[in-house]
Amino acid sequence: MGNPDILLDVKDLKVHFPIEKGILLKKNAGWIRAVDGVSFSVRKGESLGLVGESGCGKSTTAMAVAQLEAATAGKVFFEGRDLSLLSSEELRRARMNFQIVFQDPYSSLNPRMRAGDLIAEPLRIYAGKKIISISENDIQKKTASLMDRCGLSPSFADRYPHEFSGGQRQRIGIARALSLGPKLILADEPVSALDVSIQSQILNLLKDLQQELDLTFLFIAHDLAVVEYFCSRIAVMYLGQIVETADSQTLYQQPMHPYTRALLSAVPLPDPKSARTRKRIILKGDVPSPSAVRSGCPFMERCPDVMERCRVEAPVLSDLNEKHQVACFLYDSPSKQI
Amino acid sequence: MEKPRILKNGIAVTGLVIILFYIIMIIVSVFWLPFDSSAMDVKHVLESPSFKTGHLFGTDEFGRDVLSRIMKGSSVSLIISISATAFGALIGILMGIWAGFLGGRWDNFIMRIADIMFSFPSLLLAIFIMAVLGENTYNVIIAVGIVYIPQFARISRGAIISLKSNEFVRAARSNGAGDSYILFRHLLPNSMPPIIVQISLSLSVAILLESSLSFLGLGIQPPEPSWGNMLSGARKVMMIAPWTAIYPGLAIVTLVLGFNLLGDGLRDVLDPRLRNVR
Amino acid sequence: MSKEIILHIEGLRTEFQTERGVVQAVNDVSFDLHQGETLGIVGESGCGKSVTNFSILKLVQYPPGRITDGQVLYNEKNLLECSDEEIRTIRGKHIAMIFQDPLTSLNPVIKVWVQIAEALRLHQGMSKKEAKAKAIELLKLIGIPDAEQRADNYPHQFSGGMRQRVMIAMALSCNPDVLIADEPTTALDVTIQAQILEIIKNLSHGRKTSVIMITHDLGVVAEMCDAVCVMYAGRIVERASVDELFYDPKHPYSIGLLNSIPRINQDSDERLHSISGAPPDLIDLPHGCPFRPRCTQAMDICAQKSPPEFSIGGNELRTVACWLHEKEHSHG
Repeated sequence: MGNPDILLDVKDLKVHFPIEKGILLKKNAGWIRAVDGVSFSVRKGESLGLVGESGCGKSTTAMAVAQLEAATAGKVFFEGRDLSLLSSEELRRARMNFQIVFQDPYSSLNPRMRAGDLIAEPLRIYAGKKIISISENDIQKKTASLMDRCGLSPSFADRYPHEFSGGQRQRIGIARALSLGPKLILADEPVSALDVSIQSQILNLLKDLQQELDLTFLFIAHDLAVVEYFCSRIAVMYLGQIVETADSQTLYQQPMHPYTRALLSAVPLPDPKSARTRKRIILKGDVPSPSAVRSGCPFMERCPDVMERCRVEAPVLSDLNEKHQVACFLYDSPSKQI
Repeated sequence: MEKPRILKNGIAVTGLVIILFYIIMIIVSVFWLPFDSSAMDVKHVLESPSFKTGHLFGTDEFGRDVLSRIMKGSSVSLIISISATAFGALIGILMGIWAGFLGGRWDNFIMRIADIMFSFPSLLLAIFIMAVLGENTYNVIIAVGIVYIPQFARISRGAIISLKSNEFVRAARSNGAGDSYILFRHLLPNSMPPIIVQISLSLSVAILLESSLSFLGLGIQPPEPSWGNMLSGARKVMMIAPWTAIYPGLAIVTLVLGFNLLGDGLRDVLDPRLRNVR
Repeated sequence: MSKEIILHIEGLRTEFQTERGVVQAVNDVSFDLHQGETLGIVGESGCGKSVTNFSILKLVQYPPGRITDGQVLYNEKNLLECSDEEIRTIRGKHIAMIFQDPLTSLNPVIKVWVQIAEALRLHQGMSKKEAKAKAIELLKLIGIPDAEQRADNYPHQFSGGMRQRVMIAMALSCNPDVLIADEPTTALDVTIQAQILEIIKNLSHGRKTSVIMITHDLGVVAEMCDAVCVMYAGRIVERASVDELFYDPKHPYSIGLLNSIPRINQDSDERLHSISGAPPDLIDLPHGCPFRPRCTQAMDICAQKSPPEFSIGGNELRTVACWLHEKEHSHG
């Protein structure tokens, strides 16, 4: 916490959703453990990628970090302050520093608002609450410059979202997220709904903005190639837990966790010759339900290297070296065993 | 200046023209009627429509001029249908957005009440309410309005709930927006299309409900004319004097059609996604 | 290596009537599918790749859609001229399709085995008992654990990956000659996608089924296909073997597409190449080459005339619709 370099620090975050049953009297029939004890920190200026398959809890983690999803347990520190302890007024002020770019450029923009109003909305809300002081004239100017910066002609300000293509809408979403001058951007699958040729435009834009505005990113994606390109450090999630973190080069060159290895080998390579020669690890079965009560390692049912110990005990994320952590008993050195 | 978008929509314009026609008729009927609408004339009972006598739509069993009664009755019909719909929509939408926005126990409680009301056929419910309240014009408004409450509650709740899951609501929250801002800026405007369609449908059904109640003798009481009680009176003489039933019936059908067309057209006009794509 | 042509598509045109005008979804598309080959049709959303394949089986809904021209030859029969009766026996029995979304393609209230057995009973006249045994056998083949028990489940009790496998089992139930897979793994996670691709690959190798693989994912193309057609704005802009496309792409669009995918192990400081702009409006196509407004190498002629498909080096399986390659064509 004392480290001024760390912008975001997440400690043992858990988000459990109740499963309700019954029509008149709703009874709790169990819990979906969407996020089950996740800890990580993001340094200023870096971009941390959270990857995993659907249902692994990566988006829920981001929403809980943004205080849009209530955490069941655990803490989120932003610039050393515990967000859960803030009053709603203090939280609103804090929100200016972390903004979200959403996955779906269709549902994340109100179809009845014009592009200019969408981008200006955060400014107007904060000006209305007297948190920032900015004149309507300056809001207009700022909106135009944001549009320009994000590759949209300011003359499009009067158009409605449906008049834009998917890529242009995502640019509106990015401009809106930048309007309050945030320090951290939570990007929740920002390019997964876009076509390949548009995807690269948006990735380039985000990368340029990061350098220009000194932004920090928490980047959520399922596409490993996109994350590897964009992020300096990557955390791999499986069934609500982080199973491996490393800087992106290390992770791709020396994946340690059996899941990470399988995930990497499953990505179709856009290179027919190496696709033909490489050996793929095909995992068996599906991801188990996050509502099942379980013990042991979350990956044990599908793991090709499963051991007896994995079925009874859950491995914890521990250091392989300074930059590489993995939660797997395969790398449990005897000296660390208790 | 550009033409308002509603005027470019043929369906809405047709509906609007029909409704406008009735509104003009109401205004005229306040100042002038061909004959006194409740004056009986024993010499001219059940006369067929003719130019010579001046009874363009004929006369009924008491010798009253059918055209004058339709004109007088139009204001009763329109006023009842508009006020009943406004009453039902206001309470129903408030209940619906409350239930949909808060969710949980409130949602459950409000919607079960709506379900219970829904389980009665609407005419039966209206008859029951009339029987309890007594027969007068205001009570017709209240009865029809109460019938509408669960319908509006359900539609607005459904719209709010489906909109709530949109990411733009999350985006607004992450931008520091409060509950009321999200409700009024993001949720309500987007839930308007189904509600407006329901309003136009309700306006037309209210005319039918009022007519049914009056037809059954529970609504507007004679000699005060309403389209429903005119039909009710015509029932006995319909075979020998069909005009006593045809013209009030025609009035009901055209006005109902007018509201339906307007609602249909409005839904398209109000949706910015259907506007011309540049 | 000239193999037998199993499906010959020529001059296919499909259009959709919309309020705003006529959308030319498929604009003069021709290609051949060879025996035992996996042909990839790749392009971005709205390029007409799915409509092309719906058109092959006459599955375009009219209105608003209409196949206006072209022919689809299968066993010397033009499928577009077949009666509804005839085409129905071909669908499922000879040419089978699997779709992107397995949940909406399965009937939610019918048990899984019954849905698989339906085609068997319809096309092969099997008894109920035989069909059930065959259905369970197919479920085992595609790797559903406890197939005997799971056969009695309903679709919602299956996960997304398992549903897609059920779709494949249904498609394969009558040993079709051609399997059309329309984005079969787009809705699935990578590890599940790998399972499904493996199944399709084994089937095409083992059973010699010809596969048309429609996808937007160039990785899937590289893993699965022998030959590729790249589509843009309703046309095929380049056709090539998979190696030719990936190591020697000719059309500026193909080159741009290949360069714009981030690759694992790519230097992160490097900017991604990107194609500027967005795909054209199919109602209001630019005059000349549809790719011209986004093309960095556009010439005068590109604005005047739409380029035909030039074959390269005299190889009719290697074509590119770009004026830049006109000369190679005449020299070859």
